[in-house]
Amino acid sequence: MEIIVGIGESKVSKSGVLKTVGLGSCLGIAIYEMKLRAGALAHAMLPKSNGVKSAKYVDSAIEISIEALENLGGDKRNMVAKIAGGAQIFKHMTLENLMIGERNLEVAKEILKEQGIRIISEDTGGSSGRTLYFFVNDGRLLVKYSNGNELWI
Amino acid sequence: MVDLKFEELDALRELGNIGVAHAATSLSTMLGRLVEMNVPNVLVVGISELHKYFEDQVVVGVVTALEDVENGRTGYLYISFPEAKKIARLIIDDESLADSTIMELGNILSSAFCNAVAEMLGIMLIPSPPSLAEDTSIAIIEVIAAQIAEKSDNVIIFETELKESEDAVRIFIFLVPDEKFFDYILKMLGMLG
Repeated sequence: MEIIVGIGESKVSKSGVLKTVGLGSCLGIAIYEMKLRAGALAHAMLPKSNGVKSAKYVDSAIEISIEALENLGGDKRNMVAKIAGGAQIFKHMTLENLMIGERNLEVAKEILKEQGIRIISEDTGGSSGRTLYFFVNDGRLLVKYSNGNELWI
Repeated sequence: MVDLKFEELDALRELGNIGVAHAATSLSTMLGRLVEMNVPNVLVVGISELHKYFEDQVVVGVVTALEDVENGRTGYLYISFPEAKKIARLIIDDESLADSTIMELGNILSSAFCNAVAEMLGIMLIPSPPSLAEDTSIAIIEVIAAQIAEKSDNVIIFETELKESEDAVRIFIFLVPDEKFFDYILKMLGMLG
């Protein structure tokens, strides 16, 4: 079973695969609850929400994901995170505010640390878009690049 | 997700048709033979729904930032060419020049589109020089949307067809407006429709 996580969304599941496509400069945040064997995946675009609760923002997306896992019976102490994304897609930098990708990553690290969730692996940067497949039963994360390469993290 | 009335979608399609018709005229003049373009279909899609419409396929395209003379940056135009090589073959009969053909076509289309917006909606938009973008359409739009700081939830997609004698190729024109520009477009469409 494949559940699609759209841009700016966060989804949780106890089975199957959470998938998000077209991850460019944004950040994919996968949180795995090891005891519950469940996971949440978010596709966040911007660093901070300033009070708006939406998975469009990294800080908010992490909170929403944790809450969703807790609602399924999860415990923060059993959660670990994997992050991927933040590519620089355009060849010329005139259009891209490069800070966003970096800021997203910074904020993700800061918030996850605050929440006491360890980042066990990450794959960020580069110039190619990514599609993520998060296998929520065992926490494996498959990164497929637009150029066809694959990487398990 | 915004539900547009039939008349509003019709007015949007008209906007697209005016834009590509200008572009087709420029292109025909440049090449000295008839090239036709039209917009058979328009969609307004929420960013979180985009994956339903596009596959994970890498396409060549160009991105242009749009500057409103009065208010500064107001959105982006992303034009994708799923059949880039075929277009290069049709237009200059040389597939190896696909990237430069696409850049030039992107230039012509974005200027023509800005002219159409000025004509129909009364906003003067200045397009930045185009940047070549090669990745999946969703990744490109996602990067663009993240640039329009806080809010940009909708993408307007003009499905375009370019015809040269017997051949036809598809081109997609994506308008990614910021919230203010999008609301303004809707307001103007309401008046036109």
